[in-house]
Amino acid sequence: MWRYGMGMGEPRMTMATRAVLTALIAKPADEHYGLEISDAAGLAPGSIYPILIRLEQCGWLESRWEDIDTHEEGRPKRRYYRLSQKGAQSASAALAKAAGRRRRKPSALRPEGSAE
Amino acid sequence: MTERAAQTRSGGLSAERLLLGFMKVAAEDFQKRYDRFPDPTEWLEEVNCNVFLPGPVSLPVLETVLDSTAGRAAFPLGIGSVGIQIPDRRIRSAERKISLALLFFPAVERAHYRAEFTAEMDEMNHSAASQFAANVLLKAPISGIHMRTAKIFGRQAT
Repeated sequence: MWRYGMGMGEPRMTMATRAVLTALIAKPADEHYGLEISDAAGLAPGSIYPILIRLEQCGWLESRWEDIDTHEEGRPKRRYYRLSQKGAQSASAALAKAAGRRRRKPSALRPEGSAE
Repeated sequence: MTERAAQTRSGGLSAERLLLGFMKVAAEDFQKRYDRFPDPTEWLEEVNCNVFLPGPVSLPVLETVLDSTAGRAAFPLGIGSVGIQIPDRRIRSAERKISLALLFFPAVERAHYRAEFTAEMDEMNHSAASQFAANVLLKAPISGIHMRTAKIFGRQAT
């Protein structure tokens, strides 16, 4: 059973959030567990949970428990995350917007009238 | 003697748990002294050294207790395999960090996240698990704030 977020607002696009979203957008239909996401995003394992929680609250992520027999597999059930439909659309737009902002920043710091 | 005591006590259940407790203590003591897991014979000797045990235990009794539901839960690898899996100091430290981190989370979410973190740590080696738990602990206050603000105000804190 997928757990949907509460559909609140838009998350702050910090560098770590962008890294997580970029990792998820690379394979938007796939499910990933926490360790996979932190590996793909190049972030320290265990440090991405505030981001996952925030993205889930915004409705950009869906999560579900893995459906396995723990005795047969010999390991506990993992929690899998994937981008929701809303998340896939909004994340691409938010990442593009954030990239645009970053590109504009250096020129904004230049004194007025200075040559390009 | 212990077998008889085990059989006479309340259907064997509490005696079984008592023996499991002795076995766990014996295994932990052995590991502290020799820095390795005891083999079955050493384990049996160690259990029988316990002064609180009413009498000596035999290997078949140990095997029977280990084969019970509680025994399999406490010692999943049993007596004849590579040894007893006792969480080492780094694993215990990781578990403590996770428990501490979960205090920042709303009570209703704790079980869910404990299961999630445990599953993540399951495939890591001890030092990686300890590092993972440290990162979870470091980020736990902000995770807790996100969860609580969403619940209280129905919107995200920015």
